[in-house]
Amino acid sequence: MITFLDPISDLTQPFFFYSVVFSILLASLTYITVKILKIHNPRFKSFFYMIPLFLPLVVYAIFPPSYISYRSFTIVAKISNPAKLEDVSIDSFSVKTADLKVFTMQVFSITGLLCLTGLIAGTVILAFLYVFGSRIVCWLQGVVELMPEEEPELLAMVRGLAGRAGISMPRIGITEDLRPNAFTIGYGKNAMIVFSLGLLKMLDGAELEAVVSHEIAHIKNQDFHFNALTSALKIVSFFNPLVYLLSSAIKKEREFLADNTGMKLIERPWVLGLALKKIWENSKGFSRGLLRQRISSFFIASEIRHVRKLLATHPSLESRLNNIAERTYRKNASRGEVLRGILACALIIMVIVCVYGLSTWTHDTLTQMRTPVKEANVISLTHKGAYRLVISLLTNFIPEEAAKDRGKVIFLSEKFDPEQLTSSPLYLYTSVTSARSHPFPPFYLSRVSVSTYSWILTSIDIIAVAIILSLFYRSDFGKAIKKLLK
Amino acid sequence: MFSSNSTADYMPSDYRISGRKLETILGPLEARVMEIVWEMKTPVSVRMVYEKLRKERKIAYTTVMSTMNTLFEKGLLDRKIVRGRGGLLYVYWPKLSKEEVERSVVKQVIDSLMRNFGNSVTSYLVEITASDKEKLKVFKKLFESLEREG
Repeated sequence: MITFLDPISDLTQPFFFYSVVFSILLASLTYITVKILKIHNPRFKSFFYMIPLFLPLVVYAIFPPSYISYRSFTIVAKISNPAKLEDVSIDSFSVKTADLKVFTMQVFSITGLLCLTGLIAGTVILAFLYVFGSRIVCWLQGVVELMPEEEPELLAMVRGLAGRAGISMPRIGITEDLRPNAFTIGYGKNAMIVFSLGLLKMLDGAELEAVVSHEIAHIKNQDFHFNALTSALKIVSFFNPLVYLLSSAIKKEREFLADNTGMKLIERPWVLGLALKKIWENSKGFSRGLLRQRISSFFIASEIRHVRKLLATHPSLESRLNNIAERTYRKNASRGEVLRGILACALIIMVIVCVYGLSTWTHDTLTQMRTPVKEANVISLTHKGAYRLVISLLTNFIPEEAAKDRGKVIFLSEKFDPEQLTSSPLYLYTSVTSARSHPFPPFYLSRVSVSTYSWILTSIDIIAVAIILSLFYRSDFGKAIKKLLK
Repeated sequence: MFSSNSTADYMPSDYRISGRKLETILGPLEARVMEIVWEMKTPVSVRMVYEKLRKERKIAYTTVMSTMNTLFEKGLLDRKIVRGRGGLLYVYWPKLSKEEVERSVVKQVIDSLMRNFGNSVTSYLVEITASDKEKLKVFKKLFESLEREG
């Protein structure tokens, strides 16, 4: 029998719930950390924004997503004579008695299907990007690779800048597009910088050099790998709106980084600003709504042209010009900023560990539903690592431990106040939970209870946050720690 | 929109006696590009011509691009900006059909010869016609039909 999980239970499946909720929490934490600790380096920022994108993978490692492996059991009849339960024989999930019936059934989980689809699609896309990415862009954009004897000035310019950046000479391609644009595809020795005819016609030598330096910087900064991973992780959590904001933020930071790295390669860095302004102005009025262009942008490591959209992969012209004007490219990350970065990383990792502990502790209780039942003697049905029915009026009842491979049902006795039966309504709890009955290995092996572990982690986190904050608000303390770290 | 304009005549700027067919009035690459454009029968981009030419010889994209630009300037090709693969790009199509170009070239060349060396041209035409019986028959029929028309 296959049935659908009710919406609330489906949304609170641990793999879905934690991957969405905790990635949102972690993204907020990362953003606040970056702001509080005043981390401006785009390289650090892009790494930080990447962390929440990885979180779903951690969650899936703890709670493997599944769309149909959930078991449900429901008691459909009242227990009229509890004494007879001593004779109950337990066979996996079915309890054979005239009054108590337990069913097992397969439940179809839509969120499980979403998570699995994302995971498979993300993996496929990642492989696809590496194997066919460049070829697809070349086909979609009509890229023609230049021969060594063509455009000798451009080739010499690219060769010179590549040498300065310490990378091997990339291939050069052109597209017939009359609008100004340039982008990079591929990575390593197979990287290709593509220029549109519009760009080559529009820019003068110095401006073209600035654009080339920006594209060379993308290759130097390994942005193909970074963007491929971001795109794949975006697909993994495609149902989570946050990932679109995060991937957009990551790509923007990589653009700033490419601007900064590129400007170090040329003698007159401000020319990049002039070139960008020229490109922006000449790109006005051109719509980019074609599916072909959208698909291409998915595979392209970098595109210099601006897109006026909320989820744009490129920062606005204004912010890029400000970045160039502030000459942040001259500054390498200061020692203080590196220290702040390390501390922020430590903080975020600790939060992930804490999330891991908390989620392992709490995941089973999330999927319980409560149904009123008249005249039933079942007062509660709970489970922590195993299914456990607690039945009233069974004094000194010895637990029947049926630790079968498929699961176990244990009957326990508890003191029960008969007045409660008449004064308060009784409920039958129907449980839907994952097939995994044991905690994750570290908790399974440890004698420390999961809740204790979670509290320890939470306390460590709170202390860590307090230390980090005090470090930056009390200079003496900060200096002392810095000395210690040196 | 992309049809050839048959009312226009092509005025070749040069005529090479040693050339063959279109190469008498165009460079070898220009002539080949024109052949490809006529063969393709639809508006073509530079890349499409380049990909076809690359199968025949080692050639640079920029060379094809400048050749097509020259043919546009000479009035043999027309062009328009369209949205295509890669963005906004030029597509080219022939202004005249191959027959129209050939007829136009013959007309321009013979007109020039007649204008400058009228008698010599006429006597030479008679001479070469008389030496070939087949051509003589054709000429006779042509003259007879002209006389009937009055």
